[in-house]
Amino acid sequence: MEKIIKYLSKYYTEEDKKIEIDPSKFHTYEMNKYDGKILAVDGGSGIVFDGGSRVISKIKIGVVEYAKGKMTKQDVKKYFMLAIWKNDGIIIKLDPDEQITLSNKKIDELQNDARDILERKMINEIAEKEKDAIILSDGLQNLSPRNVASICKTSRLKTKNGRSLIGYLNEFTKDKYKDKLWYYTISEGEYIVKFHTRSKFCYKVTTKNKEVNNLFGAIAYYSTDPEILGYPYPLLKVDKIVRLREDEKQFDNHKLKLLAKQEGVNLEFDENSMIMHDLLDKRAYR
Amino acid sequence: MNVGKVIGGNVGGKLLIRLKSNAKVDVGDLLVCENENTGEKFFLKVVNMQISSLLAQQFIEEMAGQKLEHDEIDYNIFDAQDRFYRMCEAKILKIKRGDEFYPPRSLPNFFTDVRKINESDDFISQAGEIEIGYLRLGREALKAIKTKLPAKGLISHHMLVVAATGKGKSNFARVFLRGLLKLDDYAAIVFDPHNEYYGGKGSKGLRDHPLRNKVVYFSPKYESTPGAERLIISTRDLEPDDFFGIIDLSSTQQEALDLLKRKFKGEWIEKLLGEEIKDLFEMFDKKIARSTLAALRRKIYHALELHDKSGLVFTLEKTDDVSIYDKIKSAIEERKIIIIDTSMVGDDSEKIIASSIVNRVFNSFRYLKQTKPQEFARTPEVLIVFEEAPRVLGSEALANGVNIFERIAREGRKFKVGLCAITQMPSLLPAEILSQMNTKVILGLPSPADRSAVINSATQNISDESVEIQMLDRGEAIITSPFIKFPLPTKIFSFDDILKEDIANIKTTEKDISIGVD
Ligand SMILES: Nc1ncnc2c1ncn2[C@@H]1O[C@H](COP(=O)(O)OP(=O)(O)OP(=O)(O)O)[C@@H](O)[C@H]1O
Ligand SMILES: [Mg+2]
Repeated sequence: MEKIIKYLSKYYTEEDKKIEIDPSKFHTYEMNKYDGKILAVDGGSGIVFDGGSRVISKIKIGVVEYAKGKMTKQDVKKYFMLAIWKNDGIIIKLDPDEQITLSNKKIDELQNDARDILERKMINEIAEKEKDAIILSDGLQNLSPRNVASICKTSRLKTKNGRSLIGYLNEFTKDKYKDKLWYYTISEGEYIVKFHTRSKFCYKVTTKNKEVNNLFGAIAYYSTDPEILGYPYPLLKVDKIVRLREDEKQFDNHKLKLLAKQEGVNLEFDENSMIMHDLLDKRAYR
Repeated sequence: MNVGKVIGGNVGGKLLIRLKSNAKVDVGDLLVCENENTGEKFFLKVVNMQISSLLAQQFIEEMAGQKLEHDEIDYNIFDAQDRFYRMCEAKILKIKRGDEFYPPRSLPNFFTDVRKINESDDFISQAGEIEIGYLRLGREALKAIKTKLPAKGLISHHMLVVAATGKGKSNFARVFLRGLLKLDDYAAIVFDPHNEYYGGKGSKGLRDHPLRNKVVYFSPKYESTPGAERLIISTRDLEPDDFFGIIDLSSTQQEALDLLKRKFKGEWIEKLLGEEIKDLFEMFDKKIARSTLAALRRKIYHALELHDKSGLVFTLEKTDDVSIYDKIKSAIEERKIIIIDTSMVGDDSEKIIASSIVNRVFNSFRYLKQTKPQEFARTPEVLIVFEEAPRVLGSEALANGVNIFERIAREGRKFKVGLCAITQMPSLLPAEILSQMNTKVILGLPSPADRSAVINSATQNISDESVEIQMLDRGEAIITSPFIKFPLPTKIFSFDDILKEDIANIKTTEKDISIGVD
C-alpha cells in the first residue's frame, strides 16, 4: 500500500502543478432569492420482468416545480416497455404508446436509452411551455433550450494527468474562495459551479443560458437544503419520485404475471429460466 | 376533515398514524377511520404522539447543530412538511360492523384516511339513564354527544371516584346524584363532611334543584337551614357493631362491649359512661378488667363527642320522635336522596354516624331479601356516597377489623347496596377493595402510585391511558366500567351549569321547601 501512495503523491504534487488553471476564469457570484419558477426533470427505469428474449421494463419520468421556495406541482409519467427478440432484431412497444427509435444492441439496456429519450422529450416540452422558468436536468448533455441547465454529479472531466477536475478545483479554491460562491468557466456554456459555501462539492453545469450570474444565484438559493447542501433540492426531490424501488419492481412483477395469466400466458416459466441463468452468472463467471 | 393516514400497527397493540401538518390532535382525542372494502368502522383514541422525519437521526442532529452553531448560514428546508411531521399512536377502542360493536380484533388498511369523531358517528349508542357529561376529545368537549351511565346494577356494583384535590370529585358526585333525582328506582345516602351537597350560602347544591322535594337533609344545624331535619342520634339506638372496625378496639374491648349491651340493652352506653368503674367491675363479676372499662369509657365518650349528656349529634337522652334510622328507612322507600351533614363533627363521630346508618340499611335489606323476597324486589338500589373513603376502607382502617363498608364492598351488590367511594388516594385502598369498585370515575391523577393502583384494578385495560390520566384537567375524566363498552372519555358537567339548565327545563312539581334568601 505504501508504494501505491508514494506513486500517487507524485501525481498530486509534481504533475498537477503543470496544469494550467486560468485564474481569470474564476468568478464569484451572489445567491439570489429567485422568485420565479424552477423545475427539475429526472427519469428512472428498471426491469420488472426479465424473460431472456422478452424483457418488460418500467420507465418513470418526473417533474417537480417550485416557486418562492415552495413546491407548486409534481408529476410523474409512467411507461411500461416491452422488448422482444425477433428475427435477429429487437422490437419494442411502449405503453402508453410513444414513438421512439432505439439503436441499442442489448435487450436489457434498452430501457435506459428509452428513458433518456423520454426525459429529453419532456425537458423540451417544458422548456417550450415555461419560457421564463429555470429547468434543471440531472446531467443530460446536448440539450438545446436556453432556459435549461444540466447538473452533473460526477463530472468525467479530468486534469491533464487524469485527476478529476472537480477535485482539483475544490482544492484550488479552498483558501481564496473559502466563503464565496464561485464558478469556473471551462468553455462557453460549460462551467464548474459551487452552489453553497459550506458544501464540499461542486458540479459541472452545462447551459446555453448566458446570464449565468442570475442562473447560478437562483440555483444556489435552491441548494440550501441541509439534507443535500450545495446540490439543487428540486433535483433530489424529483429523483426520489422517479427512482424505481425494489418493492415497486416486485409489485409490478407480480401484477404483470397475474394479468398475463388472465390472458393465458404463463410468464413464470420464462422468468425461472432467467433466474437460473442469473444464478449461474453470479456464481461461476463473476 | 382528515387529520392523517394509517401507516402501521398491530392488533392488540396500537395503530400508527401520520398526521397532517395542520391537524390539531391531542392525546385523548377520538378518531375514526373506515375500511371501505370490509365496511368496518374503527373508533380510535390517541394515546401517544411523536415527531418523526424521513431523514436519518444523525442527519437531523447535524442540521440542528448547524442551525444552533452557525446561524448566519443560509439554510432553507424545502418541503419541510413532507419531511418533518408528527405521528400519533392510537388504540382501537372498538369496531363497528353494521349496527354492532365488536372488540378490536381487526385492523384498517394502510393509508386509510383518519378523521376526528363527530356527532354523526353513533359512537355512544349505549343505553344509560344518568347523563354525566359530554364526550371528551382530548381537551375538547363535544357538546353534541352526552355521555351517560346506566344506573341499574352499576350502583350496587360500587363506584370509585378518584382525583387529586380540586379536580372535581365532589362535583361529579353532585352531577351523578342529580341524575338519580330524575329517576324513580334509586335512593342514596350521602355523608357530607364539607357540607357541599345540599347547598347553602353562596354555593349551589341539590336543594336548589327543581326536584328538591326528593332530597332529605339532616344536619345538627337544622334550625338555620330551610328544609333541614335535625341530625340527632340517641345512644340507645347504637349497637356495639356500629363501633367495630370503626374506632380502634381490641378484641377484649369488643367482647366487653357485647357484654355491656347484653346486660344493659339500650342503656349500655349510658351505663358505661355513667356508672362508677368499680361498680361496673362488680356488676360483671370482675370478668371485665377495670382498665378495659376505663379505656372503653374514654374512647366512646370521645368518639361520640359528648359533653355531659349530649353532644352536637349524639345524646344519652331518649329522643322522643322517630329515630333517624327509621326516618332514613322510609326516605329510602320513597326513593329519596338523603344528605347527612357531618361537617361539624369529628372524624370518629362521623364514622360512627355513617357506620350506624349504613349498618341498619344493609341489615334491613339483607333481612328483607331472606324473609320477604317479593318486597325486596321492590326496594330501590341504594348508593352510599362516602368522601375520603380510605378513612373506612383504607388498609390502615381495615386493620381495626372488618367494618360495614368493607362488608358492603364485598357483598353489597347482592343486597342492592352500593358504595360510591371518593378519594384522592386510591393507593391507600387494598387491591381487593379497588377491584370491587367496578365503575371507576378517574379524574386527574398526577401521582404514579395512585395511577397504577387505579389502572391495575380497572375492568377495562386502560394502561395506555396513563399519560392521559396524568394530564387530565379539572372535570375531565375517563370512566371504566363493566356496564359500558369501552373506557369513556368524558368532560363532566359542571353541577352549577346543569342545575341552571334543569331549573329552566323542569317545573317543580310538589310543594316548595321555602328557601330563605342567601
Ligand atoms: N366538570 C367541571 N366543570 C367545571 N368546573 C368544575 C368541574 N368539576 C369541578 N369543577 C370546579 O372545580 C372546583 C373543585 O371541584 P370539587 O370540589 O368537585 O373538587 P374535589 O376533587 O372534590 O376537591 P377536594 O379534593 O378538595 O374535595 C370547584 O370550584 C368546581 O366548581
Ligand atoms: Mg371534594
